Amino acid sequence: MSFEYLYKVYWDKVFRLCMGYFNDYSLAQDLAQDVFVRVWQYLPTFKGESSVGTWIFRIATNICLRQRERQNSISQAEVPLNLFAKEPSDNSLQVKILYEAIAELPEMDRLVISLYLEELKQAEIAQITGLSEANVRVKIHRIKSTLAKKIRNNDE
Amino acid sequence: MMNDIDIKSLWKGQQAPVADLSAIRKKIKRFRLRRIGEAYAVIMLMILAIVFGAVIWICWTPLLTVTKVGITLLSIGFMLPALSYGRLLRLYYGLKIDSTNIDYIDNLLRIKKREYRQQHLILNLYFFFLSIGFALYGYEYTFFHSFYWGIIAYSILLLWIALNWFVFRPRIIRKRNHKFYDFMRYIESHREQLLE
Repeated sequence: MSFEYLYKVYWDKVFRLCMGYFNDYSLAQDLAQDVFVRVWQYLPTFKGESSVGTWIFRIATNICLRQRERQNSISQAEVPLNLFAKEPSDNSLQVKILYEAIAELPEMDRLVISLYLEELKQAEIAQITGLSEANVRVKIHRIKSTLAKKIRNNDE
Repeated sequence: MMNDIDIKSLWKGQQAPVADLSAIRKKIKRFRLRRIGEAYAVIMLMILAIVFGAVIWICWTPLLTVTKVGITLLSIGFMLPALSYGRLLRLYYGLKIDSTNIDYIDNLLRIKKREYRQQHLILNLYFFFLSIGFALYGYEYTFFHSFYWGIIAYSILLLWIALNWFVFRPRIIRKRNHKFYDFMRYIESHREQLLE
């Protein structure tokens, strides 16, 4: 499995995951690139103990978790590559509302729901987060109803 | 009411930037250079500390043993931050980024605690070695001057040591504590969210 292939297949998914966590277009792009730098770094040691998708999402979620700490220690000279990346204007209002609603959730819930929305199975989400499947199921159910409520309130 | 499928289709409605392999390649190159730079920085700092001691030793040819001990302590003092940095780099390189979120958070927490303890110890040792090192190193040079100049030189040295110990050191510790506890709160909240 080549790096180029993985990059092509997972770029959008990883970007959306980062976007779901931070709701910041340029930061999400920068972080998604960081994820693929790490994928490139660790791909030769990937043993196939989980599916490659699960593996990439583990890296992506951990990079999101680490970001705040990195933000604290980042030097002023180290400006992110995509600081001035422009967000596309053709995103529908509902898409924006959804991402805003996700960004208001607690951090770990953002990751869980993002993985769920990327069509990952509950077992895979459990493998990524380290939670039990039952816990993932309960979390998803709770987050979905919270999200629906938030979006409904926004529609009214 | 918005159903499951609606949310999923909305989620995928988010436009992603065009996949740009050349941008990733650039980042990989920077990443490689940074890693190499970090490793070289540690080695260079260590070499500089040794060269510093050697240059003083050779150029000023100390006569008394206390001066030699002082130079050695100063070199060790200058080497300590580089040693500590090298150890921390090894710890962070060993952090498995492809582990589960819970394991990753736990390991990160363990490393942070170790980093905190290590930095605290190194900071104290650094100021200790520098203070004693300068005090011993200065003895020979004041010894050959008048008592009056000796008093002035050591008063300035003591003032400098006191400034380090009671102003700069606590300030650095406070700053580090603040950063560390802020990080701990952040990690704990994530852990709680995962386990609730």
